[in-house]
Amino acid sequence: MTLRSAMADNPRFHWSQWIFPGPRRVFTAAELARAGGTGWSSAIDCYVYTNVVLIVAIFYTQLPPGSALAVVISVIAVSMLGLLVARWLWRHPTRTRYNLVSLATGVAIATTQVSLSKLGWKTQVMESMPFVIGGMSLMMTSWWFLTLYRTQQIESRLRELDAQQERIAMAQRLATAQIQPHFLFNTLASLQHWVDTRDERAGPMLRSLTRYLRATLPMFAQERLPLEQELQIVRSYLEVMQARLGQRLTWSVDLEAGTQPVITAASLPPGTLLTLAENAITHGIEPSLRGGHVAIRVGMTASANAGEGGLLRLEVEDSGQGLTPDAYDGLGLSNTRERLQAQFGAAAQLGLERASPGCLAWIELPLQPSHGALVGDQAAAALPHTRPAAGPVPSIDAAPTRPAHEPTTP
Amino acid sequence: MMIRTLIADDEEGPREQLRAALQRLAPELEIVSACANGVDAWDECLAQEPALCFLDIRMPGLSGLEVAHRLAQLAEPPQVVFVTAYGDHALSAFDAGVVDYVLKPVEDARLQQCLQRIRQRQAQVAEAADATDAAPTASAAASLPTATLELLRQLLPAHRPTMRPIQASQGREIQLIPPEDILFFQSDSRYTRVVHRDGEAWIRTALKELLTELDAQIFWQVHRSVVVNSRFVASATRVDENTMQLSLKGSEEKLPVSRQFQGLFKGQ
Repeated sequence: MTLRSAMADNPRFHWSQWIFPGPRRVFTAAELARAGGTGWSSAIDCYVYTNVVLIVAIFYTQLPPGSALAVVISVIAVSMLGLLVARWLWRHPTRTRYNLVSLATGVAIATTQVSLSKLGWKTQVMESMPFVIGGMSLMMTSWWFLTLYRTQQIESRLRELDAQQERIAMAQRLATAQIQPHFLFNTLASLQHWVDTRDERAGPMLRSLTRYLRATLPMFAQERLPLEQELQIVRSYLEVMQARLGQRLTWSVDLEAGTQPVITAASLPPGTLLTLAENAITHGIEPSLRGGHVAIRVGMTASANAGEGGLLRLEVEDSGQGLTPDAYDGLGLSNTRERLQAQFGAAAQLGLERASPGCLAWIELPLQPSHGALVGDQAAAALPHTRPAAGPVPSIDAAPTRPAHEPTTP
Repeated sequence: MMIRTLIADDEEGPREQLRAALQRLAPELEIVSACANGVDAWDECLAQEPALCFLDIRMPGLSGLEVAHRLAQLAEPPQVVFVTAYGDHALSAFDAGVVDYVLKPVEDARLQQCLQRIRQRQAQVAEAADATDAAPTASAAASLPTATLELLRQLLPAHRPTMRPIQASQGREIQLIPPEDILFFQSDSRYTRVVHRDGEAWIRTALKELLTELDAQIFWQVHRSVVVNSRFVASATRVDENTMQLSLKGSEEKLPVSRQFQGLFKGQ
């Protein structure tokens, strides 16, 4: 809590602030790493030096001729020291640091003055006293404001980041809530009929639905999900939709040659690919009179094959209705974009394009471990065919191993 | 009395489930049509003139709400029951009982309740018809849609994608006709005739599919096979009790207005 808010909360006199002033909140190293992004600007150094030089120049003629140069050098040295302290406070703005450094400065200046007068410069010391005290007060006041400013800056940045995170979490919950009821009850309506009429389609549909639910329900508790699991969820989803829409939907999952190790190793925010597949169905296939085809493709960009700085590219293309002007504002899409941003920063891209016919959605993720795409899953990558043990998300059972290149369903 | 009934749902499972449930619970319903999209549902409504429609809200082409909106503007609108997968908040608007709704998967108890309302309303319509012999389906049925129409208008999405120019191929040339130049569309069994300011063209798209792209404020359907640009309508002439004709600016042709759409031209 800063001094100002401490006073606002409680109008009583704060003894500790009288004796030991400054912000009361102390940031942990983690908090500083998270919110203390902006470094010390060298523009401030330039500003301070310019002012010091100007003031010295103005008063230069009035300085005693013998010690003028010594005074100039010591003033510049003191400003350098002052700026060093300022940087130190910037890195870790606490009132302990501020008070310690103020005390040390006071003691140092007093010692210097006393020593100088003992050495026989008593008159000069007495004459320069107002300037020395003025300069010292100015420096300490600057440090004090710097400490306060910096504390407030970090505090508000932390608050901002918290709010942002909360918003993302909320959007995720909204997205799950938005997806599931409609999908679920529509599926159950088909299932109900087939169970009533003892249709043989009921069994496979129920199995796919179970697999889909088992994988998706705990999905959002995870921060990231291996791409392999995400692909399985998408397959189960498309199987269910295929059963419901019948001949109006065909689909395929194509894994480009050589992507298998990447698929085992890479991970992404859960539901990323699923959201694109759901969009393709709800905005592409379902509104289209004749239905269409949904193609999921996993590949690498050309530079990835060359080595350095490559990207993993995921594509979902449908041959349905095509883009409407409001397609860009969908909650699912902006939500996905935000989550990719949170995980990979600017390195990940999500795009939506017109295809003929229909629509193409793509995601590009950094492949290099240094970018974070594969960090944490490297161990799993070392053991092919072992699913990464990803916390509470159950591995999808009952799914037979599929050939890498998979032309699927009628 | 048999009640002519239409069912529309884009998925086979729920559609057949509803059909089976209705046949089991209400033998007096005669299911005249089961459609797989909104465009077919609207077309079948014009052809079959059902007295009762079960419409899925989410359908390709025209949504259930859009079909209902069009139906409500007809001279003798059918009763509408919406079928939807989950408790859409918009549906609570219909709780007043003007239009009913059921949730998928349809449950017998809820459907019974809905059928009970339908029977009551049918009885009212019949009573009203007996009272005023001349106009067979006057007050009871006709008083329903105004409120419904307003509700539906509020529930429908504010805008549809704006219409692109019609592309008609003539030999090797593809002609682009801007919608504002079109006088009317007339459908053949397989083609649609597009009459515009500078002549006419034939396109392969069926009229009922074109409807999903046309701005309903400007392009009025006046007959099952005719959609006219209202800006070119000069006058509507009543020929006899059941027949009405439109004269157009810039064309000698006279267009028929079917009985269902004569409410569009009231004359005040």
